[in-house]
Amino acid sequence: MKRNKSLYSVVAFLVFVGMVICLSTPSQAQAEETVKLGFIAPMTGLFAGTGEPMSKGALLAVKMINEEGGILGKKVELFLRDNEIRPAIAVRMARELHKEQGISLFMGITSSGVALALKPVMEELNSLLITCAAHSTKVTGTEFSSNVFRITDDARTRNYALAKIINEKFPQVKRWANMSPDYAYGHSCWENFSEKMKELNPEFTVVADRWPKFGAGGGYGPHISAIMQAKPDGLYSVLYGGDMIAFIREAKQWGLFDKLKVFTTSHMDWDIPNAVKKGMVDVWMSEHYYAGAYDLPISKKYEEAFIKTYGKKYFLVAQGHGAPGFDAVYAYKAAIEKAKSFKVADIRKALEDLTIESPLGKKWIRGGDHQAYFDMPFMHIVPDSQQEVGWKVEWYKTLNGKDYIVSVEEALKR
Amino acid sequence: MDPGIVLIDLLNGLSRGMLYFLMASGLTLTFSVLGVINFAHGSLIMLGAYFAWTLLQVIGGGWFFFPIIIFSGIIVGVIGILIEIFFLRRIYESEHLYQLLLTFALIMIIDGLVLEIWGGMPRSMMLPGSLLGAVSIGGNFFPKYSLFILFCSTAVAILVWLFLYKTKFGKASRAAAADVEITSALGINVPFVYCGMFAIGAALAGFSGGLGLAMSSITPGVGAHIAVTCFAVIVIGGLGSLVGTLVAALILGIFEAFGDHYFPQVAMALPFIIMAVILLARPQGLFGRKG
Repeated sequence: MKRNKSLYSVVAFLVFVGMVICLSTPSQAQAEETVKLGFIAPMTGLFAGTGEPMSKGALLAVKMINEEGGILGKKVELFLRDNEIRPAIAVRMARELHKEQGISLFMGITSSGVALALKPVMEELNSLLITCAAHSTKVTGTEFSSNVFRITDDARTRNYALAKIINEKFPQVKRWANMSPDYAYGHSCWENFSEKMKELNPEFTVVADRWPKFGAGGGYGPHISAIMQAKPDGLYSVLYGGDMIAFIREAKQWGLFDKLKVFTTSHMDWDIPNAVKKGMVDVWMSEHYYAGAYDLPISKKYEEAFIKTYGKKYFLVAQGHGAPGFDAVYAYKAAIEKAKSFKVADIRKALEDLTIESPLGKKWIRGGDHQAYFDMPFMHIVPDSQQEVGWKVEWYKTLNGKDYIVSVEEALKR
Repeated sequence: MDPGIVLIDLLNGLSRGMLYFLMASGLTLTFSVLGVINFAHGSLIMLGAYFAWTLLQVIGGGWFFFPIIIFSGIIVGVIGILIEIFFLRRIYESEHLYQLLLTFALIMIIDGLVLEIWGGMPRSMMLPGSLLGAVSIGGNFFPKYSLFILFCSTAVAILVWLFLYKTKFGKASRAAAADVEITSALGINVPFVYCGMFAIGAALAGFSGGLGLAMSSITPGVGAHIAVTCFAVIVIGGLGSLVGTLVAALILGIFEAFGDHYFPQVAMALPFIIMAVILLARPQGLFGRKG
């Protein structure tokens, strides 16, 4: 009897797995004669606020391209997969999409760890990946792959530019603390920010260097207590998603921000101030996109289409990560049209030194390191009880990545 | 080492540990009485947080905050009753694999529903002004909300103990946990006890979600993240032991707090090191029974 039960259990499990696979696999015939793109990003969990809007930006681009006639006459299909920001899941999904749907053009990815895990898979599957938010310099540096491109900025250009702004605005701030996630992206950002700050201000001193677990989602009290003990004047942090929300809320209760002259981050998604609302703090930051900073026809087109499709409220939260998702689809379109081919090798060649029209202006993908350079937005957010959201953008500026570029040789070494 | 800072670290650890206890206690109760390992416990914690967030949006914050998180726990408790009646009741006699499949399916259903209803963007709760800010303890600051968590979790721990050992229902549930057949023969309605205990476990999960996630962010799938900690706590404490859950939660919380502050390089591995050391010495957990 016991044996029978075990057998039934195994059979039931196999049936269940089979059903899940059947339900999630569209028929091959249905998708013929289309350009298939695979989109992998976290759409649930602590980092859903990054992947979900990115997917919406990509879906919007697909919709617009299809309405305009597709790519070389073919309609575009986007296959969305949620990897919960786990490298192993992303790898499995890339393999599944390649095997079951024949997809060789991938995009999305909000974590450097995931991008680095996908690198050998892309090479093995002879596929391409355009990362939309994995910022570690390694992705287009020491771990460079001819199969991986990045349509958003890298940790170096953005942090070099941020350091310039911070040093100009706060030359008197010398004692700094860092509180960043302990993984590739966090280390890459802080390394570049602190390097540039030291260069600009020789008195730059690090009094506290904290590396909480990536994805901890809260419980930062001991780190905050340690930072307060060190008495810094400036705080840098690239915690993001749910981690940053929890950190801001906790640190505010501890009174940490009252003791600082400046709090800065090279990356804060719009979902963070929109979630924290009236609890938002004074911060110098950057994001993938800020509607107020760009006044181009394509920016307006992106904004209007996004608002029409998903609503204004959602646009305010999702405009940032939506933009690189949007750009990645258009980058594939531009590359395929330039190559006049759907072959991976031809698309790869066409992506190198390609310039695309983006809501952020012209984005140039350098052939040597596969990194995009463009006008990056920087903002100063201040709490404002008069605003419904509890804060406002008090200042903004765009700085071009090309002004902070390093040679290909140097980029590939770091 | 500054004694004032050590005291702050200790408070941090106690607050964190008691929250771990609150989150894991429902899981322990469910396992000890029903013998069910509820993998969806984290999802119930998440649901509690979403209900609290929604009620706070509708009703507003202020002094309503505390009644709202209690009410969110009650709503999750009612959902627990429905889960027990329509799903769990059918698999008590089955092997653990069925429980795994069922509760795993519940995770996907609940997470999917949450994503449909609330969307993927993170949410954070409005807290009453009286719980914001910090108090000075020996010249060092400590957040009021962490003290509030410590107070609430301790109060709930005492209430759960009183409920289990001083009420008729609690005694009946402990009897059912020890021997179902004899308990049933004594005229105790065991299915009612099972249903009630699962509802209480779910309500504790819902309450702990509202209380514990009020200071962080609420996103679909966050329950899975919390569930890992809950399972670590109940394994270290010994499956089914409420005292074990309390002790394990406090050990984890305090070690993590001191580890984060003084040994941040190894802090990430600390919970696993603790788990490995304890399980090597006592494979059944601190207060678990052999076999």
